[in-house]
Amino acid sequence: MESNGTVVSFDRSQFSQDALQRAAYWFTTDWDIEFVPLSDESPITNVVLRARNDRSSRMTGEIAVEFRQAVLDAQIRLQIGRETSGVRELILAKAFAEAGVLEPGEQ
Amino acid sequence: MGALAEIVGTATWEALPPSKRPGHILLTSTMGMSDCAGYAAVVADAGTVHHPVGSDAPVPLFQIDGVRELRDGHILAATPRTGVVRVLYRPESRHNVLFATEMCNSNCLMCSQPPKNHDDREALLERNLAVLRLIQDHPPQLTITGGEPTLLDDGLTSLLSVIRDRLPNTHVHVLTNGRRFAERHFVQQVAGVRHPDVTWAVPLYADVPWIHDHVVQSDGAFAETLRGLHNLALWKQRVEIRAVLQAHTIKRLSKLAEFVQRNLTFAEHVAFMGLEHTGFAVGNLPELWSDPADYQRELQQAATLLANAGMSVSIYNLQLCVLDRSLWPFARRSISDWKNVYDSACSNCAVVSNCCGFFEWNLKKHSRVFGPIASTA
Amino acid sequence: MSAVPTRPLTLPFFRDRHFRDRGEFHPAGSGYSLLPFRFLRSDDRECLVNECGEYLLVPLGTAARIVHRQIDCESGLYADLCAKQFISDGRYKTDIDLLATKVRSKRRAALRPTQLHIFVLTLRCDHSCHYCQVSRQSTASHEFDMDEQTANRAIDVMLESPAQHLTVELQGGEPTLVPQRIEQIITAVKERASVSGRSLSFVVTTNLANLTPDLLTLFRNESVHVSTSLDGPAFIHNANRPRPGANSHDLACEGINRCIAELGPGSVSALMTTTQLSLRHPVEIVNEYVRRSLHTIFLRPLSPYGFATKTAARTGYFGTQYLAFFKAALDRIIDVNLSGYSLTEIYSRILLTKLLTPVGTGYVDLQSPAGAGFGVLVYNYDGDVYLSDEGRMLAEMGDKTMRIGNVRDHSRRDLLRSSRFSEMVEAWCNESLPGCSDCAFQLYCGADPVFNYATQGDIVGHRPTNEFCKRNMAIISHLLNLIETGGDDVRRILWSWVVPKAPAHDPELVQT
Repeated sequence: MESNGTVVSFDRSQFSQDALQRAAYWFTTDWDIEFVPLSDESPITNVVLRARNDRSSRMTGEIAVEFRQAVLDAQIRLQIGRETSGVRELILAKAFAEAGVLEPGEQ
Repeated sequence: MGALAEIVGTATWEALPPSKRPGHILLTSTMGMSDCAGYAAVVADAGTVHHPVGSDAPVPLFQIDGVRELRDGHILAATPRTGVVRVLYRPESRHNVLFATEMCNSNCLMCSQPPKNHDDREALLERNLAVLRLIQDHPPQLTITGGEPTLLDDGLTSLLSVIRDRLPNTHVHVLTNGRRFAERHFVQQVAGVRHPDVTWAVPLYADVPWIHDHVVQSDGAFAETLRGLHNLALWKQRVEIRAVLQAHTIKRLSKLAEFVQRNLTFAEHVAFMGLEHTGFAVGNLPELWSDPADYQRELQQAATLLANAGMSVSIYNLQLCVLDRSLWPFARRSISDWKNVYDSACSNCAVVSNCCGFFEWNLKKHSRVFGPIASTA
Repeated sequence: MSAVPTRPLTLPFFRDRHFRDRGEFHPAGSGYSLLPFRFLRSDDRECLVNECGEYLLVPLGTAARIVHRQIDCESGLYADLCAKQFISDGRYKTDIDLLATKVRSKRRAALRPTQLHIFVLTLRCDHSCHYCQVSRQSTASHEFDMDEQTANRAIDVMLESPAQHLTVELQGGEPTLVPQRIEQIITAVKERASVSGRSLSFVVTTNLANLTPDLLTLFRNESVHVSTSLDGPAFIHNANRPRPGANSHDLACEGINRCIAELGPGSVSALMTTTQLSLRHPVEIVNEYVRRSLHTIFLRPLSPYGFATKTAARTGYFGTQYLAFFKAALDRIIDVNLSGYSLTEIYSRILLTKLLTPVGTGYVDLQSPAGAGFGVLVYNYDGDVYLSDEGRMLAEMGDKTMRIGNVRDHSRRDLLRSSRFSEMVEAWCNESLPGCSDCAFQLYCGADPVFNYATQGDIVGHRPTNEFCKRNMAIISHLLNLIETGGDDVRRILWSWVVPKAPAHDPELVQT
């Protein structure tokens, strides 16, 4: 592991790669981010964040908490998406169906 | 038997020539029954001595208290079996009502007209059609209420058609829970009348089903009502939303307002209504009563939200003294002119002429802030 | 004409009139289902937004608790979540119907075919505005004017749009330098559009420095709306917008007065462009608008195109400074309204319409699918067609990436099938853009692939550093805060921008 990096560990059974990447996206301006899975057997993925500029260098103390929160949020979003994709399609289909949704006139 | 079940006719104090008597009910405070052949009925004062009517002039006679309150042109229903005389229509009033049925598919906790399970639809339809045939003037508005008017089914369509044809300039206001409009074919049927000026006034008591359903005492009522409202909008019907102000509805009143603003944008009017202490409301008053003084903030938030959003808002049945001044622009003289009364204290009030006053049955329980307003300075 | 009710009723409706208490009508509780929603975390709370753009401000951590089924079904929060369709209390059907209706209302405006058609009549201009996005030419050279043939061909392409309403915006350079072209286009469009029964609006974007009586007569007769620039009081306006004689401000004000007098008060609107100088004077700029009897103001940030980029040192492209300016100006605008003078901020109005009402807006710069090419088409003086005004400005800087064809060679159909347009489609829905796809403000915001390309080098853009994103997120958050904490009077004013007409009152209105 290189120096100057903060390591935040995630259990892959709880946090998907998708969530890690979506969260990481918002930190790419100020941080270099590296995903380091420990091994194929281990469920742990380490995410290494290295400060890229002055602003982020001052934040190395808080970054772990902030990043973890971002991943939690991303995971929640994915779960909402999974649970609601079916009903969302239904809603959109109904919304754009030719008849039946507050169109003027007779049926 | 049908012909004698109820007599509907136009009241007249003035004696009419025989050719004009059919369909009229003679009013008299004296007893001179000698020439009454041809009238549909005679209504006399209860206290007068009755002279026997000639055996060859079988005109039904009714004797009631208060015959002097009846006026020329009033349309009356007189029931021989019970001796009861009802006024069905008053040309001088702005608030005439056609009563459709006492049945209802809801059972609201505060219902001012408690429903009955007797199927009176046919009889009342006949009565209402008879009234419509007799109306001579051009009333600006007719209200259809009940019970639940949509239970009339085809009868409602008939009623609207007759009004459309006979009274083309009359606005029809139908008080309905809207639940039957969840059935599209029924909306289509009713909309097919193409009455040019109907508004459907539908109550909504919460933004969530369990509160609304509890108030109307019927599972699934909220969902049905919403579907009914949307169908009405689909068929370009005009809709008004009503909310009665009682403890269950006040709690989430501004959220209800927001719900209406977001989901029922097509509503042309929203009316917040003070509670009537009559019917079921009397027995349920402990759980329903909320002093208007205690809910002005909620009412203000709700009314302002809707008004800001460009919706027309009214407050009915709440006196000016119990309303926050900021809400006075929404207060209406809502109580039917033949129903409203004032407390004796009101004679000292500076704004009494703009105030809706009270229902008689509301005089017994006042808000703690009730009282004449000294001046509007 | 009596009819017997035919439907047999299942009587009795209620066997006895015994009243069931509240406990018998209860929410389904832990069995609730999720409905689609997004959320955004801020310092002290979360903002939830549902599928049709209704929001709810809640304590931090609520989104997670909702997903983990930790919301108490007897709580007010549970009722709020159900009422606003963030969760479904088991009665899916009603929720889906309501949401579908509202989604349709929201999206309707964005799905109309091209309504806005911008004609660039000339590149000539008598001004040399620092932020100008068009290469300036001396007022003498006619080679940069749109000729009659090109104008007619552009009209051909425009009329191929199926839109029922067309807005024709005449721009430049300075379009009043070619009055004959203005007249020709208006006449031709009216004649040809009347055949298909379409409604029309005409807008002329002008600095008002060359307003002749003939032009005013034309504008009056054709109900042309005049859009002009007013950057603020003279010291700001003239500094931003130099011209020979340094009198742009005088001419603009005189022009505004003449328009108000001869065309009517609503006939002219002004917008301002923010420069480094403007940043220091939000209050003075707003006050100037009041002084000129204008009732709308459009607080536009500096766009990153054209001369802006070349003269970056002088004008500067900024983020947080602009936000501070915007907030200060908006505060002043609200104060002006509180004192009784009606002044609507246009950008806020667009966002507030999306935040507060069930409908969407047609504003092309805040749309998904992006307005570029879909909501607007730009016909340059030489017949080249661009997806948006910004796309044209890029071309003036030498980058013709956003050019999709030419009216002489292509029909509307050809243009919308061009490879450039097809590439744009890849990036024009913010639902599928990185960063935007999860964003709570997705429905309030839009996609601007041309902006992304110009500022970040590709049409997708990098959200964390994207100025369009930062600006909109900050302004939306600010407006949400104003709505929630600004108080009744502020709310009334914000609403009045969205719903200008007062509702009709019943004749029995109580007089106090």
